[in-house]
Amino acid sequence: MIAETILLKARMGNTDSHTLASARAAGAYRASAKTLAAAPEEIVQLVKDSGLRGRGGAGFPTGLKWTFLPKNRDATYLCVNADESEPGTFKDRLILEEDPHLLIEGIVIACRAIRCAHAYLYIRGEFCLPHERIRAAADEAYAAGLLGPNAGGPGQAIDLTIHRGAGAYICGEETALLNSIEGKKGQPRMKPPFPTNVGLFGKPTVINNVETLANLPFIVEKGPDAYRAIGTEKSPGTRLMSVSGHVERPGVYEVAHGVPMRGLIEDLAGGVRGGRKLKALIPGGSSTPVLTAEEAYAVNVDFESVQAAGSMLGSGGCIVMDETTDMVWALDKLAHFYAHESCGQCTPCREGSGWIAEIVRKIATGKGTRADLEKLESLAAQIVGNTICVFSDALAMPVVSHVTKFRAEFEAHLADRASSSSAAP
Amino acid sequence: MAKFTLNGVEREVPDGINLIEAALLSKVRIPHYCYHPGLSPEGNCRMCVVEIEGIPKLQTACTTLVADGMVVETESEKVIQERTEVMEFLLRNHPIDCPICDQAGECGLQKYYMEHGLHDSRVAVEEKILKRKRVDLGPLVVLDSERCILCSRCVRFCDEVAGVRELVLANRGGRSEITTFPGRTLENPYSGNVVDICPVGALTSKDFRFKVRVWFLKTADSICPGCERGCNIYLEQYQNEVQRIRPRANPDVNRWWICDDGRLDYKWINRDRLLRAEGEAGTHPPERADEEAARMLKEASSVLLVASPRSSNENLFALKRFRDAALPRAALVGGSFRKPWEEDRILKRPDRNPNRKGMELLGLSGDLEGALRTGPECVLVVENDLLGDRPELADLLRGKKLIALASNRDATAEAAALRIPVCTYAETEGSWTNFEGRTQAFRPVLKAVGESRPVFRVLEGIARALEASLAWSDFETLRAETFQAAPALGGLARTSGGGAHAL
Amino acid sequence: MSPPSLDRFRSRLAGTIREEPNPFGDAVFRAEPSDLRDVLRSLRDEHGFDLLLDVTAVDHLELPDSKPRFDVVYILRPSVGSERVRVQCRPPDEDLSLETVSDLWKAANWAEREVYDQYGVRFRNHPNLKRILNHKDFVGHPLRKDYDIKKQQWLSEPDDLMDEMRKLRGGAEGEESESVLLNIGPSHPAMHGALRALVDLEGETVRHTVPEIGYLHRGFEKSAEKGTYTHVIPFTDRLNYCSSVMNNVGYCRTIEKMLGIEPTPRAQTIRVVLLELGRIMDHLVSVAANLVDVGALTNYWYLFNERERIYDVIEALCGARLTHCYVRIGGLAHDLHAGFEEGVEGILRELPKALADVERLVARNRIFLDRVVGVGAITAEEAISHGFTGPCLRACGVPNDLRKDEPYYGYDGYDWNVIVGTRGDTYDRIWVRMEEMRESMRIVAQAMKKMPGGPVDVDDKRVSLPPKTEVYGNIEALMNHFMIIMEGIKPPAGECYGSIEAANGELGFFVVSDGTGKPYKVKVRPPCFYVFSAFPRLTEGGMIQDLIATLGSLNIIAGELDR
Repeated sequence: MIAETILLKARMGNTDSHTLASARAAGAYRASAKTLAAAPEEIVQLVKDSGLRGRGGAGFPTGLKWTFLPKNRDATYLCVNADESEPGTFKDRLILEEDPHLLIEGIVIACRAIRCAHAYLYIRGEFCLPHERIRAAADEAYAAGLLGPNAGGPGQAIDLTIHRGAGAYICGEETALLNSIEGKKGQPRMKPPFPTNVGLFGKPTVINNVETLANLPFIVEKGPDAYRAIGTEKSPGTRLMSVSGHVERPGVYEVAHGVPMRGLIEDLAGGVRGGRKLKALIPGGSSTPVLTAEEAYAVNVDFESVQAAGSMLGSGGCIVMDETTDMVWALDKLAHFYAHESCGQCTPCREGSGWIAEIVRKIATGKGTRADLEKLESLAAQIVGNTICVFSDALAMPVVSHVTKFRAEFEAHLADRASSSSAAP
Repeated sequence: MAKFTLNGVEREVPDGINLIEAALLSKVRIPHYCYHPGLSPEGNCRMCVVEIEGIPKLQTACTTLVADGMVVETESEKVIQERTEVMEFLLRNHPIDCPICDQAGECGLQKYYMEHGLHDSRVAVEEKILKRKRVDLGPLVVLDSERCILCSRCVRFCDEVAGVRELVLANRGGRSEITTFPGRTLENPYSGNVVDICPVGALTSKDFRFKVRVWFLKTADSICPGCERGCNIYLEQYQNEVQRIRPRANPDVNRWWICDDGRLDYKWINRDRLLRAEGEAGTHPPERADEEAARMLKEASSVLLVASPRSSNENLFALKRFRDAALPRAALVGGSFRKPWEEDRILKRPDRNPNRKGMELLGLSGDLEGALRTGPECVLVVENDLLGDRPELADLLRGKKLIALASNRDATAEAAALRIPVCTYAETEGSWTNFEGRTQAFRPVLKAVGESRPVFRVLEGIARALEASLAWSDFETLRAETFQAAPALGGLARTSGGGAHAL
Repeated sequence: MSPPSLDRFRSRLAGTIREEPNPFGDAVFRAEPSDLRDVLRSLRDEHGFDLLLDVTAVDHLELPDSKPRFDVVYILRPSVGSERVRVQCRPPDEDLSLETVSDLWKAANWAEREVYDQYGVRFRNHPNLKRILNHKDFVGHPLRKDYDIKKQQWLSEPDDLMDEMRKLRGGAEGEESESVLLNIGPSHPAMHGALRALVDLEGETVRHTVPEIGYLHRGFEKSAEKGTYTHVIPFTDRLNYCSSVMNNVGYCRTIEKMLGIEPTPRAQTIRVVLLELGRIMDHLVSVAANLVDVGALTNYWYLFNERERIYDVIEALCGARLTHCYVRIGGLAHDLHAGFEEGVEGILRELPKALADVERLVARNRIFLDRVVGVGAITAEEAISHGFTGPCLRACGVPNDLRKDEPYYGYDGYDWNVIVGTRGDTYDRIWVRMEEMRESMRIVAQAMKKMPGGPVDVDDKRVSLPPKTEVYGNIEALMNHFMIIMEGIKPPAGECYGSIEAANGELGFFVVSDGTGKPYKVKVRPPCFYVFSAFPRLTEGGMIQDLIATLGSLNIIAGELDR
C-alpha cells in the first residue's frame, strides 16, 4: 500500500492556501531569502547536486541546463512554461491555483541563480482560475517587495510578466513559447541555436516548467541531500502525477519517484472504476507510447523504468483505460488532437498529422482497408526525423504504440478484414 | 574561406554562406522551395535536407552555414528517401490543377516530382483538403490556397523587402492559409514579385493569368526602361507580342526584384505602334520617308535635333555622328520633360528615363527648353514624347516643322509633319547607363513591328538622302565606336547571376 | 583476316589514339585530322572494320565544349560480325576541312557530300564535293545550329548534271559524241519514287550514269531537333514508309539504349512480329514493283493482295495503313487488339500461296531469267566498300544480318535462316527477298506462339505515361504525364548509335543528347542511301532496260534515301 509523499502539496488543501499570508505562515519565501546572500554559482551547484530533472516532459537535469548559459552574457531571461497543454496533465494548474507562491518563490530562486532580472510566465489562455490566482499572487509579491526592483537584492530587480497564451498546444514547445511572447506566430524555431544562447528577444534564456521551479524552495531550504533522499538515484524527488481516466478517484497525487505504478493507480487513485480490468495506460501524457496493462503494472513511477519499458514518464499525465475502451477510437481522439494542434510550419508534420488523423478516422468508422493500415504505419515513420520540432515525434508515439500493441483491434475494424489474419477483440 | 567535403570531394568556398549556396558554387543543386537567396532562411519546407557527418538528424542546407571540415552528403540514400517523402507530403493536398494552372511548365512541384519524387500516389482526390481557390489579394495578385505549399516566401518578401506587413499565414496546421492582414490588401508597389518567387501556382498575376503557356514564350535578357535604376528583366514574347516581364537577378542592381510599374510597363510595346512612316501627303515607304525628312531638314534655315534619355547609347552616338556628318550647323540637345516619380528606398529612382547618365556621358545633355525657345525652324525629335510629357509645349512647337522618330503614336508623333517608325528596346540591341554609371545591354525579343527600323538605321537613311556618308555595317561596329568615343561609359557591365533563385 | 577485335586495336594504337569514355558503352576513338586516314585505314585493313556505315558531323555550337565547333563522326563495322566503332575528329574552325576517305571506302563519297551539304565541312581531294540532298543553289548549311529552321529559300532551277557528266565523259567541251543523254526521272513510273538519273547512252548501252537525289528531302534531321524525343517517332514513319513500324523500332531502340531500359517481354515479342510483318510488307513492294518493271504484271496483284491483308491487320492495330507510329520509347502505343492473332494467322495462311503463285510464274520463266540473271551484278568486296547491308549485301553472298550478328528481342531464340545469294545480281536480290519473306513468316509464327502476357510499357515513370485513370485521379500522375509530354523524355547527355536490321539493311540512328527533352541531333543511317550510291557501278556497261530492272531490285525508298 503506497501513500503520497507530500512535498509540493504541503500547503495545499486550505481554502486560502493561495494567499501570501497563508503561504508565508506556512514557511513560504524562507528559502528564497537564503538565496539573497548566496552567489549565483552556489545556487546552481545546489540544484545540480540535487539531481532535479525537468518536469515538463523531457526530464532534462535542470542544474545542467542552467550551466549552458554563456559565461559572459549581458542579459538573461527566465521563461516559466505554464502552458500545460499535454493531454492528461493537470498538475501545474494545481500549483497555480492552490500554491502560486510556491512557484513565485521558485522563480525568485531561479532568477537569482541564473542572474535573471526579468522572468516571463507563459500561461495557457484557457486557464481562468489559475491565471487569476497567479496574477493575484504576483501582485501580492510585488506589494511585499518579493518581486520588483529590489527583490533580488539592493538594486537587483526581479520582475515577473505574466503572458497569456491564446489556445495553441504548440506554444508549450519552448521556442514556440518564445515566439509567442515576442508577439509572433507561435511556431517553433530551428535549433541550434538553443535558447540558452539565443532565446527571448535574442538573449540567453532558460525555460523551466512550473513544477520544476516549485521544487526549488525545498532544495534550497533542506539541501540537495534531503532532496536526494526521496525518490530514486536517477529520479530524485517527488512527482505530481495527474491520474485521469477510468479510475475511482482521478486527481493529482504526489509520490516519491520509484513507487510502483500499480500502487499509484490502485492505492492512491482507487483502482480501475467499477472493479473493471485495466487495459491500457498512458504514463506521461499523450505524447508517450501507451503501455499494455501488463507493461504498466511492471513499471515504477520514475524516468528510468518507464523508459526501459519503451515509454516515457514525460509530464506525468497518467491516462488509465479499462477493458471497455476501443483503442482505435482512443487513438482517433489523440490523432485529431495532434492534427488540430500542428502549427503547420514544416511539411511532414503539417500534412502528415492531418493525413494520419483521417486514416485513423476511416479505420475507426469501419471504412479503412488493409492498405490504409499499412499507410498509417508508414506515415508514422515518415513524419519523424525531418521536422523543426518534435511535435511529429509526439504524434508518432501514440500511433505506433497503439497500432503495434493493439493491432488486433485495428484489424477488426478493417472493411476488408475477411482477408486479415486475426480474430475480433 | 572554408574547406568542406561535398559528396566526397573537397571544396573551398567563401566563409559564412549556407550549404545551398556553397553546393551551387560546385554546380551541385540542392532542391529547395522555401529558401530564397533574397530572403531570410526558414527551413520549413524540409526539401533541402542533407546529411552532415556527426549529426544523426538530417539538417536543412538553407539554415546551415558552411564550416571548415564539414562533411556533407547531398545524394545519400537517406537524403533521397527523405526528399521523396517530403514530395509526397507536399502533394497530399495539392489539387489536380495542372491543366488550368499558369505555373505549369515553370512549376517547382512538377520539376521536383520528376527529379525527386516519382512515387505512386496514395491519396484519393476526395481526401484532399479544400480551400479558397480564387482569392483577390490585391490589384495584381490572385491566390489559390489549395495550391499553396506554405513556404512563406511571399510573407517574408512583404515583410523584409517591401517593408510592409500585408501578408500573413493564418490558421494552423493543415488549415494554414496565406491571407492578407485583416483590413489590408496586397497593394505595395512591389507586390508582383511574390508571383515570381511563389514556386507553385498559388500566387498568379492578374496581368498574365491564362494568357499563354510559358513554354511558348521566347525570352530575351533586357533592361527595364522605367527609371534610371536599370533593373534587369526578362522580356517574354509570343507571336511577336510581349506577354510579360519578369525580373532578372542581378546582385548589384535590382537583386531579384522589380517594381510593379516596371513589370506592367510593356503594353505600349504592343499597342498604338507607328507601323509606317506618315507625312502630310500620306504614308511613305522607308526610303521615301528618309528622303522627305532630308528635304525638310535641308530646306530649314535652322535645325534642332532633340535627343532623348530613353535612347540607347548607341543610338545617341549615331545621332551625334549624324549631326556632324549631315547637318553640322544643327543644334543637338538632349533632355526630357517626363515628370519624375517619388523615389522609394527599394528600387525606384526619381528620373523616369533609363539613360540620363549615358546621355550625359555622351555630352548631349543641355537646356532643352531653352533650345526649343530659340525658335528652330525644323525640329527632329528622336524617341522623345515632348508633347505627351509637357502638353504646354504645343504653343512653342506650333509653326515648326516637326519630324518625329517614334515607336508609338504618341502626342509628339501625331503632331509631327513627318513621323518615321523606329524600333522599341524590345526589338533592337542597345545599352543604357544607369544612375550609378553602370552600362547594361538589352537584347531584342521581338522582330521589328511594322516597318520600324532601329534609330541608327533611319539616321543612316536620312544621311544618305542628304548625301552625307554615315553607315555602320552592323550593330556591333556601332557599339564598338560608341564605347571608343565615350570611354566614360565604361563598357558593358555584367548583367546576370544572383544565387539559387531558380529551383 | 582475323576477326575484328577492338581490344587488339586498342593495344595496337595505344598512345597514338585516345579512347573517349561513352556513357552508353559505345567504343569511340578520337583522331587528329593528321592521323585520321591512317587510323581509318588501319581499322579497315588490320582490324577487319571493312564496312563504313556512316559519316556525319555534330555542330557543338550549343554544347559546352564548342571549340572546335564541328566533330566529324565515322561509324564502322565489320561486314560480318557486330562490333561497332566510331572514330571522331574535329577539324579546326579556321580550316574547316578533312582529307577524304572516299578512296578507302566508296561509301564515303556520298556520305562526305552529305556532311558538306548539311554542315559545310569540306573534304579535300573528294572527287565530286557537291551538295547531295539540298538544291544546288541553296545558301548555307541547314543542319548548323545557327541556321533558322523557318528560313525559306525558293529554288527552282534544275541541275543539268552536266558538271558530273562532263567529267565522266572525259572529253573536251563541244567534242562530237555519238552518245545520247537521257534524263530519267524524277517523275518516272519506273523510278519508284522521286529518283533521277542522267544516263549517257550509246545505243542502248549505258556508258555513264549520274544519279541525283534529294527530291524527297524534307529535313527529318532538322525537324527532329525541334520537338521532344517522342515527337520524332511520327517522322520516322516517313523514312522507309513501306515498313514504317521498323523505323519506329530502330529509333526507339536507340533511345532505350541511352536510357538503359529494355522493353517488357511482351513488347519485345510484339515488336518482333511487327518487324517481320514490316519486312514482309517491304519485300512485297520491292518484288512486286520489280516484277512490273520487267513486265510481269500479274505478280504485282498477287503480292499486293497480301500486302492489303497485312495493311488490314496493321490498320486495326494502330489506325493507319502506311504510317504506323505504333512504337513508343519504353514500349508501345497500346497493346494488341482482339483479332490480331486471327489476322496474323490469315496472313501466314495466304501469303505462302501468293509466293508460290509468283514462283510458278517467274522462277523458271525464260524471259524473267534473261532480264535479271547476271544483270546489275556486284562483287561482295565492292558492295562492302559501298556500304551495302541487308538483302543487297546478302545477295552477294555475305551473311550479314544484325538479327544473327547482334540479336535483339530474342531473335536468337527463334528457328530461322539468313538467306544469301551467290552472284550479287538482280536475280539474287529479288530471290533473297522472296526467301526472306518465308523466313519472316516462320519467325512470326514462332513469336505469336510464345507471345508472353504482361504489360507492354516498361515500368519507369521517366519514360512511360501513367494510365489515364491515374492521370485524372491524382496529382502525381498528372504531373508525370504533363512533364513527359511537355518537356519530353530526357536521355542522359552523350552520343549514341543504335540500329536494327530493317528491310533494306542496317537502319541506324546516331543520336546526340544534351540532357534535355529535345534531341540535339538525330542522324539516320539510311541503308538504301549507300545502296543507291553504287547505282552508277551497277548500271554502267549494261543496257538501259537493265538499269530499270536493277533499280527495282535495290528497293530504293526515297523517304529513307533523302530523309
